[in-house]
Amino acid sequence: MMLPPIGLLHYLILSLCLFSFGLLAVITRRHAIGILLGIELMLNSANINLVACNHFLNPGGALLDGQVFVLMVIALAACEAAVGLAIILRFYRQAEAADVADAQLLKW
Amino acid sequence: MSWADWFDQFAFFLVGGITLVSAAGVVFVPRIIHACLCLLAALISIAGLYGLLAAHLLVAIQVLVYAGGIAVLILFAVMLLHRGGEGGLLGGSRNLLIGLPATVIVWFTVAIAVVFSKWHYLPEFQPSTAGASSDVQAVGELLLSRHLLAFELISVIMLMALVGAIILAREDRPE
Amino acid sequence: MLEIAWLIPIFSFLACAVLIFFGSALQRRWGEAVGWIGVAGVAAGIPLALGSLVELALGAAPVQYSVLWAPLGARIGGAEVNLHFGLAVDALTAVMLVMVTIVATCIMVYSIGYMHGDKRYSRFFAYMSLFTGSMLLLLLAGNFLVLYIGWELVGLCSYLLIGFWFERPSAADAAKKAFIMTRVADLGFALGILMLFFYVPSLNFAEVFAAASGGLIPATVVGLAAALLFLGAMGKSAQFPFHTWLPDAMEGPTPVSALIHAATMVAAGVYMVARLLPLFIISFGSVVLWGVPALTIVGIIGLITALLAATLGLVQSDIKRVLAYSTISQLGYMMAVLGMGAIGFAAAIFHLIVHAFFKALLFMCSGSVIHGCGGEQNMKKMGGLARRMPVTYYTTWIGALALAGIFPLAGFWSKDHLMAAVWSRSSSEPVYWIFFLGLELAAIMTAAYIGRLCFLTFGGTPRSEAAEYAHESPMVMTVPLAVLAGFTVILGLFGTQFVGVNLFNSVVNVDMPGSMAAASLHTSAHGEHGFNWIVAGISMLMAVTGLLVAIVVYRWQWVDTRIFKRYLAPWYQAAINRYYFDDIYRYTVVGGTLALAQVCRIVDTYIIDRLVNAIGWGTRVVWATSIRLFDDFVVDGFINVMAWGTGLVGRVTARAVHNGQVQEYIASFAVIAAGLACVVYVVVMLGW
Repeated sequence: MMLPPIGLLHYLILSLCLFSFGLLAVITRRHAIGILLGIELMLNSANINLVACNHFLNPGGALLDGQVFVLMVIALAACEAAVGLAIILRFYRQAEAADVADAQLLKW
Repeated sequence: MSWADWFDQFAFFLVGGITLVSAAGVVFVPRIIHACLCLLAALISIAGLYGLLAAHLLVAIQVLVYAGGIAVLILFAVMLLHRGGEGGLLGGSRNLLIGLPATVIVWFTVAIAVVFSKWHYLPEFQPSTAGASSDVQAVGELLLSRHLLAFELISVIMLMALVGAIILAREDRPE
Repeated sequence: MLEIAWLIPIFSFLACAVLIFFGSALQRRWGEAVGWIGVAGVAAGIPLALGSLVELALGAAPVQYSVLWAPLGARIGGAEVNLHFGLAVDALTAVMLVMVTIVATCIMVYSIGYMHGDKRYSRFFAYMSLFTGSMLLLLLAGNFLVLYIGWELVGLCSYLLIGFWFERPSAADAAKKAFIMTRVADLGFALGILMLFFYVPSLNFAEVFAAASGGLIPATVVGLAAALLFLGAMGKSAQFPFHTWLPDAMEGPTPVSALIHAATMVAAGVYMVARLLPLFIISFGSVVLWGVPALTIVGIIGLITALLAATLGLVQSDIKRVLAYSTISQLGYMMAVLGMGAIGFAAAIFHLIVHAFFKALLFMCSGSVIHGCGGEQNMKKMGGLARRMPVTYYTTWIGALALAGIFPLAGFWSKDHLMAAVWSRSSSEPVYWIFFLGLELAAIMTAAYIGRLCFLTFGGTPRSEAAEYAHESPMVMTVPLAVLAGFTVILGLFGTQFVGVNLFNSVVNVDMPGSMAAASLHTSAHGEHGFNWIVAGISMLMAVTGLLVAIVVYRWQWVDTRIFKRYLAPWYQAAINRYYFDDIYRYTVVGGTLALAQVCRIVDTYIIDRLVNAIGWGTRVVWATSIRLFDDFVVDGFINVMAWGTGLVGRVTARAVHNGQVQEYIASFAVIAAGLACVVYVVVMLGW
């Protein structure tokens, strides 16, 4: 049995699936924190892409920029989580609920 | 196929499978606390994927920052919000009719791009070469030389996020 | 001095500017001393003018300045045409400058006393300065353009000053009358200039004269242009039939009358004809109207004016009006003599200058009398002023005797020149004896009316309260009188043969262009004519006769004036009504204009207005109604449908989409992004 060697495509498809799960979570979860979870998934799928590309499209192994980008993204994700949770706390305190359906200020 | 190849295959599918299952749990489990735990599992398995890609520094940072920091932060937040809209896909979601088609469309769209892109046109394309090694010192030097500006900007953004989060989450003083 | 003669009007204009802009402010600080600013501005020109005259008399060449003003481009197939601001100083200009500056200075000093207490005191001196400056500019003109500018400025200033007391309707009317009548005449002036400009690419006097004598301009055109130019002079110098504005101009303050009559306004017409005399002489060969050349028209108009105005002067009872008709008459003399051609040139200018001095003197004397009598102008309410106003009395007599032409005053010499010129012309062409006789007849009347004026005003006993309590005028008014009286006495010396040579004639002479100087048959280019004992004797006889009549009638009162009124009733009635000229104008020109205006008004009100209203009404009814219907049903309907449709679409789609649900927004975003990506795929795959 000859399976193709594990390559860039494998990781890309994996990260695509991860991204889709993240998107689905963002769209479907009722709880505000659920949206945050979905966003984290999507960010991680992007990180996998970066690392995989850095790994496979980097013949001599000399360049490490992709991993540096991932560091940046992780830092930003931390910021995003902190601010997002603060917003959710605030929203919960005002609406006495964390269901995003209750947040309707954007309604036309 | 040599044993090393078989190991590659096995390791990738195992770790990738765990990642996908955990991610599906984030979407599907009804209780938000369980979703958080699923995310934690997914993050740790993604650290495993980094290990497969020989990014050893990232494995450590993923575990420390994501699993140890962000996921725990979210868990604390969930515990603070004792009431809330529960329910994942299995717990009754109101946006399922919109969300599933949208996600499928996005999936196929991106999949087309991934599959039909002509990767081998890229001169650096080396299908299965396990090239780069995660040299901590090299990453640190890059961070403080070529990406110094971004590094500094990130620090400013983190400061702003810190201040913003405090201001947002603080109790309103009675007027 | 000659080189900077162009500064002379600048001083006056500067004084005017200062008084216009800072007059009231300065008056608050200095009181009525501001009048001296105007005096200074005019007087500053005296040394320059005198210096220029002396230099020219000693043989200096006339100077010309020409500054390019506006290039007009080339005429079709002709030379470049440029408008220049041209000034020129020759002997004629210089003597006139001297006369105007001196006379104007005296008048303005006099005004300081006369205008005492007027509410527009500084404004008066501003206008007077402008008036004098305009006249000086006119005198300095080296081309037709500057001449015209000065000409119109003088007209404007006369309007401002005659109507200076515009609160009085009669003054405002007189100002309008003067302005409009001279404007009508100016039309001829402007047409004449344009006619010449059509043929000569320059407005410079010398070039136009040269072109005219060189045959560049058709002789008929020269004649017609000269006649048109003379039309302007007729208006300015109040020649028949434009003379009616001048007596009315007495409505202005008396110094204004003096300035108008002596130095500035009316002198402009005579000066202009004298300045352009070469044109008239050149055109002598071609006839203009009814077989008469332009030069002869000048003479005939002058003669008619001289006689007509003299007869009118005999019957006026207003002291200033007598002098006004006297001025018209004297201007008629000058014009008549200019009509003799080059031979009369020096004589006319000499008389113009001498007349300016003694007429200014007479006017200021009359002003002094009016001032002393508290504004009374009617001679019949005066009398017995000799003892009460001695300075005015003696100076008036000096002026009066000069006007009558009594030896040895300046008026005698100038009138002698005039008559000698006419005499010598008559001896070669007998038809000119008419002129001689007519002018001598006018001389009798001149002596008679001026004698009447003096006796009525100063002789006998006071005939009114005002005359009873009359007082002498202040020094600031009597000193200029004395100065002018002195000039009136001595000025004749310059025009007499007895000092060896006639100084005036040797300096001032008409400057004929090129070939014309020798060739002209009927004009002696140098109007040198010896002292003629016969002419002098006749003139003297006439003057004494006229004075005797006045003495007999008004001093000794051997003859009652009612006898004249009875036996000369038709003439008297006509004269008292100024020969009905004003009535004729009122019923023809004014009435015609008013009638035309009425017709226009009726046409406008009943035809044009109604037509416009009908069109407006029709438009409103037809067009507006249709537009309203279109608007109500089509436009509004369309807009309503649009609004309804938009609302429908919004309710169905937009509102459903914009439900405020973040998650649905994200879903839409994802789908749309995917869709856009698909578009890109299609594009890439099809190889576009």
